[in-house]
Amino acid sequence: MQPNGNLINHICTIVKRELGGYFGSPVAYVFIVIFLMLTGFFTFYISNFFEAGQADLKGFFQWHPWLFMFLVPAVAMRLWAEERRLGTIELLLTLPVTVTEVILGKFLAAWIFIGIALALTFPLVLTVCYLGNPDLGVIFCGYVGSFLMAGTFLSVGSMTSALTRSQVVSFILAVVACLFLILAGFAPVTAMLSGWAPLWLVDLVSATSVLSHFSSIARGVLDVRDLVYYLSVMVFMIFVNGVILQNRESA
Amino acid sequence: MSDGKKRIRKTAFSAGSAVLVLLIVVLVNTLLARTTLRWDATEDNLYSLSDGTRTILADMDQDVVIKVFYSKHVPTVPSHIKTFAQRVIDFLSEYEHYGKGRIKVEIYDPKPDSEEEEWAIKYGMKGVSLPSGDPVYLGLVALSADQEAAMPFIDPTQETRLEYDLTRLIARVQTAERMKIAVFSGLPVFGSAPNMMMGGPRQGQAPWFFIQELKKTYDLIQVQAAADTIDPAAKLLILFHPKTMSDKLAFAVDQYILGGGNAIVFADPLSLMDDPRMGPEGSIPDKLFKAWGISMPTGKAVADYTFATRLRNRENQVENNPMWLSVQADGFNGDDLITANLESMLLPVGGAIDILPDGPCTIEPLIHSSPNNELVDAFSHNQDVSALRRQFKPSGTARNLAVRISGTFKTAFPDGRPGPPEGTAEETPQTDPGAPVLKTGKSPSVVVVVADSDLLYDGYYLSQQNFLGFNISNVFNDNLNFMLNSCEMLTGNPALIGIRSRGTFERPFTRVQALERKAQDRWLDQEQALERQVEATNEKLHMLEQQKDASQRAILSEEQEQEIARFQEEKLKINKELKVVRRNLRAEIEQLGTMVKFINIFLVPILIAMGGIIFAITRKRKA
Repeated sequence: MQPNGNLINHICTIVKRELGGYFGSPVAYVFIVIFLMLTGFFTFYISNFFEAGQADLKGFFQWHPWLFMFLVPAVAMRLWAEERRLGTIELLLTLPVTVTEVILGKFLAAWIFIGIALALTFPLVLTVCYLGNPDLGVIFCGYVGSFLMAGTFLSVGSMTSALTRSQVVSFILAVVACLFLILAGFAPVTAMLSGWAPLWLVDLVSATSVLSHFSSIARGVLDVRDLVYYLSVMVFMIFVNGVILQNRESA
Repeated sequence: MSDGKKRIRKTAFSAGSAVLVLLIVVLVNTLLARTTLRWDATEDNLYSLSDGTRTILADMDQDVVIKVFYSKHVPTVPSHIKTFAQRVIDFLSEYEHYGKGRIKVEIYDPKPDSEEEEWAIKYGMKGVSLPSGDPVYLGLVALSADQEAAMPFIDPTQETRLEYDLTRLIARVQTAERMKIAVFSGLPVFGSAPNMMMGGPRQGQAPWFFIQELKKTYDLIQVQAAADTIDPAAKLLILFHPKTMSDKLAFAVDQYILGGGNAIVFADPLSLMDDPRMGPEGSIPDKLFKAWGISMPTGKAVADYTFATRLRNRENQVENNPMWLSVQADGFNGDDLITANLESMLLPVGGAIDILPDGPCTIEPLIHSSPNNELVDAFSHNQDVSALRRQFKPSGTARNLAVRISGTFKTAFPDGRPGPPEGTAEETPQTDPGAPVLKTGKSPSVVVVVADSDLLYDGYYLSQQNFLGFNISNVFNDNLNFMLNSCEMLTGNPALIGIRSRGTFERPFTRVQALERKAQDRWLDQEQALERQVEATNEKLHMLEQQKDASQRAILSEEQEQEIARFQEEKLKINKELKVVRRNLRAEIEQLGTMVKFINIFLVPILIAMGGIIFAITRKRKA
C-alpha cells in the first residue's frame, strides 16, 4: 500500500463519517436554516436588495463576513472540544490513523458542510438571473471569496476548539479572533497599534484584514495574492491545531 | 531526563515549529506581494487594460515616467483606501508591462517635511486630511520630455473611469501641442469671474463641468457673439445652445464647415437653464439646418412614455414625466462608435430632428426616442403632467434626438456674405474682402446635432458630494460620455472612446422595469377612456339642450336628467376602476417582490427543515 493513497483514503473515510454525523443530528439542519434565513433577511430587509433594483449580489455578500464570524465558530467549536470532553479523543487517536489525517478530515468535513450551506443560497442567483442580467463572473468570485473566508474562520475555530475542553470558551475565543481578522484593517485598530509598533508591524497587521481580501475577490478578480492569503491562514491555523493536539495527547 | 523536562522540551519544540511555520507563511505572502497574476472574471474585463489603451501604449513616441505619490506611512488610512491604492499601483504595472519599457512607474511616500512632500506639492498633488489630522496623498503625475500632467487625487469612487483618466494623461503628455476647440455658447458655460463692482461682491461662478473636462484635453477658444470668423486652427466647433447667433456668425460657421471643419451643435427648443424672461424662441439655427438637410420644429419637445423619467413634482409627489427623456440602451445607435457603448442618457425637454428629403449629406440617427412618443409644446413641461397624459396619442414612429451628418456640405448662404442688418445707417466696412467665399465644401466634414442642451448642465449627469473634505463628483449617466465621445471622434482620436464607455456598471432589474411600463400603459388607457366618456356625455347633454324650446331652456328635460344620472353613475364606476388601477399600478411589482423574498428567505429553509424531520422520523422507525 502506498502511504500517499493511504492518507487520502483515511481522510476520505473521516470526512464521510463526520458529514454523516452532521446530517444525522439536528445541528446541520438548524445551522443551515438559520444561515439561510439570516442571509435572506439581511439581503432583502437591510440591504433592500429588491428595492435597489440592481442585478448584482453586493448586498448579499456584504453580510457574509459578519454572519460567518458567529456561525462558523459555532460549527467549529465542537470539532475537538466535544471529543475531549467525552474523552473520545483518546479512542480516536488509537485508531490506525495519524493526527494529521484526523485534523484534515475533520476540517474538510466541516468546510464542505459550510460549502453546502452556502450552495443552498442558489435561489438568489436564479432570482437575479430572472430579474435582470447579472455579471455571473462577479457572482462566481463572490462565492469563491465567501467560501475561502469561511474556511479561514473555520481553521481559526478549529484551533481554538483544540485549546479547551469547553465549547463555550472555544466559541468565544474563535469569535474574538475572527473579529480581529475582520477589523485588522480598520483605522481605530491600526491607530491603536501605531502609537508604539514599528510601521512594518502595523502594515502586517493591516494586511491580515479578511475584509480587504474578500472585497478584492468579490469585485470579480481572482488575485493570486488573495488566494495565498487565505490558504496561508488556513495552513498556519491547522498546523497550530496539530501542534496543540500532539502536545495534549502526550500530556 | 525527567518526564517533566521532556514535556517542556517537547512543548518548546512545538512552539518553535509553529513560529517557524508562521515565518514561512508571512515570507511567502510578502514575496508574492509583487506578483500581479490574476484572473479578471468580470464579463467586460473591467479590471484589465482595454484594446484602446494598448493601441495608445503601442504607438507612443516619447518615454513617460509616472510618479505616484501615496502616503504609505500613515497608519490610519482606511483599509479600503489602502486596497484601492494597491489596486492603482497594480493597474499601473499593467501599463508598465504593455508600454514595453517606454513607461516607468515610480512610487513615492511623501512624509511630512520630506523632499518627497515638496515634490508632491510642486506637482500640484492635493492632500486629504484624515479625521486624525494626517494629510494623505494619493495622486500621480505623468512626465514626458517637457510635458507634465497630473491627477491631484485619484478618486476611489471613480475606479471605473481610472483607465480612461490614466490613458488620457499618458496620451496628453505625448505631444506638446494640444488640439483646439472653438466653443460658442448662449449660456454662461465658461463661468464668470467674481464681480466686485456692481452692487457689492458677487461670487464668481465656476465653468460648467463639461467645459472643465474639455479643458483637460483641449485648448478651448471662446467664440464671441460678434465674431465673423471661426479660427480655422480649431479642430472642432461646438455650438452650445446658440440662441443669439447673428447672421454674420452663422455665415462664419457655414464657412468653417465648408472649409472641412467638424462641429457639434446642441440646439434646444427650450433650455431649462436659460432665463425664462428671455423669450420663447429656443436655439435652432434654421438656416444652417436647412442647408444640412435637417429641421427641428420650433418650440416643440418630445414626450415619450417609454423613456419617461420618475421625477418629484412641486407637490412633492413622484410621477413619470415623459418630457424628461431617460434614453435607455435601445435608443442608441449601436453601429456608431459615439453611441455604441452608451447605456443611459437624460435629455430634459429635448426637441426632435426631422430629416429633410434629398439633402446633400448622409444623415444617421445617433439617439432616437421610442415609438411611444408625441411632439408636444415645449412649454408644457411647466404644466401638470396628468394633463399631458390625458391628451397623449403615441405617434408610432421613433423621432431622432441626435443625428450625425457627414459628407460634403453646401452653403446656407447662396447669396454670399450676409449684408449688415437692415436699418443700420452706417456702412460696416467689408471685413477681409480677400477671403474667398465657399459655396460647396472643400472636403467632407462631420456635424453632430443634438436636440437638447440641458443634458450638459452639471446637475443632470453629476452628483457632487464632499468626501473627507474633498469634492467628489459622481457621474450617473452617459451624458458627458456622449459629449466626450463625440469630441474624440470628430477630432480624430477614436482610440480613447473604446476605453471609456466599455463595461456595464448599471445592471437594472429589466423585468421590474418592463412591469412598470406595462402598468403605466394600462393606467393611461383607463384614464383616456374616462376622458372620452366625459366628452361624449357632454356632447350628448349639449345636443339635448339644443333640441329644446327656448321657453324650456331653464329647466332640465327628463331625457337630460336621465342622461346626467347615467353619466354620474358611469363616472363613479370609471373613477372606481381608476382607483383600482392606481392601486394596482405597483401591485404587480410588489407581488413579485414578495414572492422573491419568500422564495429566498423561507422556501429553502422550510424544505430543509422538512427534510430533517422526515429523516429523523424514518430513522426512529428503523431503530
